[in-house]
Amino acid sequence: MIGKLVNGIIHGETRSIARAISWIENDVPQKEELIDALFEHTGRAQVIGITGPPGSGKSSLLDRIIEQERKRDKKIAVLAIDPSSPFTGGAILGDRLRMQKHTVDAGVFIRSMASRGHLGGVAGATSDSVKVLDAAGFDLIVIETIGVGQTEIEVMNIADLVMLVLVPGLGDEIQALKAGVMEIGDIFVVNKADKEEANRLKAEIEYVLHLKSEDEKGVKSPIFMTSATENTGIEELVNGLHEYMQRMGENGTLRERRRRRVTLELKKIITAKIEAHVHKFLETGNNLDVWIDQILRKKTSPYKLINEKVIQILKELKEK
Amino acid sequence: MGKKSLIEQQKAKWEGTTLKKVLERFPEQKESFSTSSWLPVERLYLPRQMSEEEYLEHIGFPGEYPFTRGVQPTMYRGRFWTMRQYAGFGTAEESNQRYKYLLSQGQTGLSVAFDLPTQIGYDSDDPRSVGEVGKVGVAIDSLEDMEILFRGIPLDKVSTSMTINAPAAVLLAFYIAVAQKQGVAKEQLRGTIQNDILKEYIARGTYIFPPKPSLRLITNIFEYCSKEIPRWNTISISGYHIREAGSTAVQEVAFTLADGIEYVKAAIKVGLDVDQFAGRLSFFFNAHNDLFEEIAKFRAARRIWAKIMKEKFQAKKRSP
Amino acid sequence: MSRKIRILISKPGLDGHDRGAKYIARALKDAGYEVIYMGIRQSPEAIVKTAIQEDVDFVGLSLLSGAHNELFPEVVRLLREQGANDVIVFGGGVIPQEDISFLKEQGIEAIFTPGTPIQKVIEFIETNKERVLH
Repeated sequence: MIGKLVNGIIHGETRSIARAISWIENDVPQKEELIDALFEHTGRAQVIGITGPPGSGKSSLLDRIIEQERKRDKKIAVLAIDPSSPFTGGAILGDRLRMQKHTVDAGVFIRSMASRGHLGGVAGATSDSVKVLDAAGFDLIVIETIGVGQTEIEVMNIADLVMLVLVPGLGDEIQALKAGVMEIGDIFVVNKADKEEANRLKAEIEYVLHLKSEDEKGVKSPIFMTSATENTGIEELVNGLHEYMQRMGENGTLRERRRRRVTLELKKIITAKIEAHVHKFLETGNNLDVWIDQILRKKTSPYKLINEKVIQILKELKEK
Repeated sequence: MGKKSLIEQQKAKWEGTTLKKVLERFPEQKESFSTSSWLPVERLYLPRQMSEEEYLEHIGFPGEYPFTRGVQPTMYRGRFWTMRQYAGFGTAEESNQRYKYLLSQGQTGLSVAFDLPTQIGYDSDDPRSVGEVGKVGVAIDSLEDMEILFRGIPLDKVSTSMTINAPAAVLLAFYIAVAQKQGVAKEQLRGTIQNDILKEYIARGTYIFPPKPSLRLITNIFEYCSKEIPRWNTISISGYHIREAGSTAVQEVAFTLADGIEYVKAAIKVGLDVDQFAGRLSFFFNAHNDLFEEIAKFRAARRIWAKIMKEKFQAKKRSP
Repeated sequence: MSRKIRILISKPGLDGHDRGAKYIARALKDAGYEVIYMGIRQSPEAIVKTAIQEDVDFVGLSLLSGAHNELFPEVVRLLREQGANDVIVFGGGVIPQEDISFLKEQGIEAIFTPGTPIQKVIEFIETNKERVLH
């Protein structure tokens, strides 16, 4: 089953790619084997994150970027993240509404992804799904984040480059944004640039960037003026994006980022696995209740018990 | 704070006696009652305190500004409305037969339903028209179809309403051409085109072009008709579809009048004089279930529009 | 492992009446499903491509213009042609009673006509979801 799926993916077969992403989203047991099998085929794609406040036109802009990249014969995959309801777990995923002209283009793959409780603007499955798309031979993978604001910084740990889309008319939004999200942008886009206050917004961004501490290689973040509806400034943006990416490759930033990405991923997954084991340990046999009683009845002291249990957990893990 | 009026005194007495007794024995079925637009419905309404000056200003007389009580002084005691059943199905031949039948049954005008390919500008043999040709209305692909549709129907004798929006200019041109072939001068033509593109984006869905060029088509129609077919109603600004799409009565009027303002602004912007075209702007509201709310809605809509035209746009001429 | 049911809601054909489709999308979201909403004026090809990319379990089609006999079966046919045999298709809208058995023969498993309580649609998904869990 996995062999067939892997084969389908590396041959760019849509159903296999789509099914693999579902596996990751649903966290099926075979997921790890799948990712490992795909791993040797990854590492070629450029990964871009698009973030920005709701209503900034991320999806419409992305639609235009896809158009440009298709003219250059690039294969593109999009992961569009929308929030899951914290109450029901349900979600309405509607980003692809804005990218409909590419639906029947075989060189474009769009996948809507619900956050499923994951914080940080992306879904828990995003990172591994990027690996699937990379192995499937897409030249460019774009992650469109939920777009709710300051906590949306996880995309910088997945993407090679982050594009921050802003629009005029959001008032003091940029003041609020600069604290968190402004720092993660490599490239800035003032979308809806046909609006009156667009130049003022550009000046504000320049001011905030001026305050920003020196970046890794002293590279200046470019600001692009676009209008997705009027289709202006898109070619410049896409050219600028590739130039920036190239510079990042030349000055070593890209290498450093990818290294950092692997570092974070390793730490995260190792921690998560151990944590899962700990939870299981704590929940089985109502141990926790027994210990609590022991502590409350002063039969033992808390740290003594904790250290005993940690040693026990580690031993169990080792035996596994 | 003045003294309580006699009616208010009596109301307090009623509440303390008659009402109280009944409520104790038979409580009301719900805590609160509301219209389908969620406006609260009180238990009892009494004559509203209003000075004669206020009455004359806001309510006035039928046929006079601000038209709260109707646009004609005698309304339907004088002349009936045009009676026409929305009709059109299958081919131009079949619909032509239907129109002749309806006219023979005493109908005083025609109301043409077009199929969706016609409404969206596709030919009947376009791949996107599959399954839709001749459904929900008649298929019109050419002037020849239009000639067949009105064959044997004297266009100087009937008033024709056409539910057509995005391609309204084309269908109106066809209509004029058919009239000319019948030997009817275009000045004699009477009727209405729906021609309301803004509500298509808001609610109905049969748009073709983006808003700006669509508005240009509409103002061009205003200008042409004011000069060439002065008895034609150039637009039917529609709240009906907005209501059917789920709005309340208040929202229905609000969206529709906002659309109306936009059309007037667009026409003035291209250099038309408000009194040259505004008298031919017509409206189409929903007649929903809540009788009193609907009466209030129609009265409010007339009065607000009259005020907008007089105060905001300095219109001087009243509609014919 | 946390399996989520994914449902595509779309309107094939040229009909612009999307109140029902949006209502269904919203209600299914509230019932805890992941709903991909495609909106109006979709070709059967686009619907099927999207269904496959999104790896959905169900496809819900809404149509009020009368083109259902042509367009609903075409969606099923294309899905099967692409090997997506496990996707369950249902429909809704202004569908005359006499067309329903034909549509069912063509592989549209349920038709929900005006006035259907939303609970019926949810029941349909709940009863059939075992078949698509993989």
